Amino acid sequence: MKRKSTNFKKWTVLLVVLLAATVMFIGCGEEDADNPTVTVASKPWTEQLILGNMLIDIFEHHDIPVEDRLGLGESDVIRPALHNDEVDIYWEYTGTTLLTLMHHDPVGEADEAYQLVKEWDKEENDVVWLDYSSANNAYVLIMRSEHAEELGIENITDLSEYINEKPGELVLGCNEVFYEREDGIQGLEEDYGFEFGMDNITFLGTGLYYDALREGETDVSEGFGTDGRIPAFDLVIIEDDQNFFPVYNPAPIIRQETLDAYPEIEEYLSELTDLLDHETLMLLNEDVDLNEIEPDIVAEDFLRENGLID
Amino acid sequence: MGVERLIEIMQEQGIQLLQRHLYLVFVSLFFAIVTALPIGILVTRPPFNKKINQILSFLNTAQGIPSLAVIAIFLPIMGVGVRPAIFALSIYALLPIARNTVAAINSLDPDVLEAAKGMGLSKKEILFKVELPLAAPIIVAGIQTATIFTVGTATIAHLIGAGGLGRLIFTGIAMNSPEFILAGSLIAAAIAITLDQLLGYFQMRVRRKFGG
Amino acid sequence: MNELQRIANYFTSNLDRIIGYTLEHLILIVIAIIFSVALWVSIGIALRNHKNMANGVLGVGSFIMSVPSIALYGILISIPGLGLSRQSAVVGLVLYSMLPILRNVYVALNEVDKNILEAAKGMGMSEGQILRKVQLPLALPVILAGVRVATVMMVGIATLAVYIGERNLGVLIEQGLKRSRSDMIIVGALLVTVFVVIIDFFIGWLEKTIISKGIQSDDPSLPGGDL
Repeated sequence: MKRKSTNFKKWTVLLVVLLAATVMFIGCGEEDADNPTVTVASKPWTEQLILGNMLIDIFEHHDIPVEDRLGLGESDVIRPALHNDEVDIYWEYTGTTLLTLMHHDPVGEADEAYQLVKEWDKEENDVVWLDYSSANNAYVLIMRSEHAEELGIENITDLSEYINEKPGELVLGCNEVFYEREDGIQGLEEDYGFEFGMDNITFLGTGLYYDALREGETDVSEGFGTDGRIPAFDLVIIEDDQNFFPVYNPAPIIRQETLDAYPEIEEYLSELTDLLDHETLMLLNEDVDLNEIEPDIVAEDFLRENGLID
Repeated sequence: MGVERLIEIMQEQGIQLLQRHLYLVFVSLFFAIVTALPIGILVTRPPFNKKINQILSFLNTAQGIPSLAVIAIFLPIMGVGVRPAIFALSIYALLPIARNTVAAINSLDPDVLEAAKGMGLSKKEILFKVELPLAAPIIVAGIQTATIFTVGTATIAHLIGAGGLGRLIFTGIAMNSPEFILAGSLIAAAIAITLDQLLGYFQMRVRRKFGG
Repeated sequence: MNELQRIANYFTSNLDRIIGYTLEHLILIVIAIIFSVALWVSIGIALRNHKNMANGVLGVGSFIMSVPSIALYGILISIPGLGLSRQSAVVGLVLYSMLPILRNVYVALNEVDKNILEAAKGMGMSEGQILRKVQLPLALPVILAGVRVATVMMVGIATLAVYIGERNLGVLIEQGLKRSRSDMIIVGALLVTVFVVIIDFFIGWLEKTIISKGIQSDDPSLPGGDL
């Protein structure tokens, strides 16, 4: 008799544990129909993490329930999630949508680009572009400033001429996404009429290419226009004189359904984007990348200093 | 999932990445083997052999260190590129080979060694004519393990600029492209399996020859 | 601030964040282990008398292990229904633990001394009883050894899951790489290493306590010419 009850206990414990595991696994979330949770996503790099944290902080301040899915992935990952209702809002760049989704020609004027994507996304995907920031976080090509000076390279046309004269001398550092995207290196090479060549490209994880450039492991590199490491590492932007790259103004894009549930979001975020000009965004990025402050703290401090949250 | 696109990727980029991947794997295995064997043998000799169990335990646990940690830690030490990756991969591959060397030699029948000593063989002769041959099958098994580990870990070496098939996989994840992911995964799995089979066959031959 | 100070500083300033990551790491592993043990032990038991099928299934497990873990994750997230979620991470971990656990279950159940089995049959025990009261208890040391190997492996593979959306200790390394932060990389690498060691010791301790002295395995990690 005693043995039976011990066995029974063992099985019950096992069952409970299994159940607990399943629950943890599937996750119990009771959705309140009147106050649906807003799922905030972002790409896994500094500026996106800062901006994404700002969204979360602002929503929480206004008692909007949020789910944090920051760092989910790049555009190609977040977009389908947005269209699938798995993600409700994230910061996207006008140029990115313009070129990689709409396959449109590059547009260099902020408002024009914005209106194009806004209209397209509303019609195609029922996604709303809220107010955009005047910061232009464009893809840029960068070099060490003394090296660029030494070789007399000021713009990409200079670079293309140099490479055509002396192929194989300069090494490009970039990540795999920059290589494969429509608005990446291959498109640029085609437009400007030159080619680095696969042997002269070193693929590095996002962010690592700044160090590699500084250390001399690469000669030319991919970069983000608002990255504080460019001035800090004594790097210089090689001007896109033939305007291959479009403008990349960040704006929060949100599912219409979510906006309908919380129309006030538009106003809250408009307040925010008004404050986010190019300089400011650069400084915020620097706080993370150079001053070693965590993105969520940078976001919170900024919002607090500007009275958007308390 | 576009099969044509998959094949296209494999042809255009896969081959070149494969070359780099194999380079990383073979060079690292080479360094791992030439360091692990002497170290393993040394551990079975006094004064180290007093601590054999602790050392074995350490080698076992050390193999559990996440590959991402091993690769990434060489970035602050050596920077980006192939060299830090090879260092990292070599150290990682060293562990199972050393472990198996130690365990194999340590588990040899002491009577056999006594007999060899009795026959007048020198220490060096015992090592090369008795211990190593008998331990060979298990050592080769360790190399097998190390090879599969290394092929897998080399995919992460992409993150510190070493190149290799990892690029296809990370591109696939970033760009939500199953074709890229599969291109990288299939080629990597194919090398791993091929090398594993080759080494398995080699191990069998070694076992037959030395009667392990 | 020299490097050592930076590292110590990062650790102390971000302790709560680090604890959060550690918990996420632990939760993921616990979930995966529970599913793995339930699944692979059951299958191992079911296959114990079917050598050919067992070899086939183990072959699949072996194949899975030759796929680099990041590749396996990549494949799993491409499967509709799984996507970028904890489910994919768990499935990946469970698949990876197949070989160590299943193989140990099968081998252990089959290595029980034939004499003991004969004796049990002689005593009138049914097959089910023999399994529960004789085979499994005797196989426990080796099974636990397999679970230990699997768990230790999982710590490492779970670290990589940050590339498919998990937020555990791997984040320190992943973000450290993106932000050129050697301090984060080193803290992350050290922490996951410590984590591995603790888990290894913990299960080692469990092995000693749970398994009665009489049947403790000498060196369950001794290479058997295969892995």
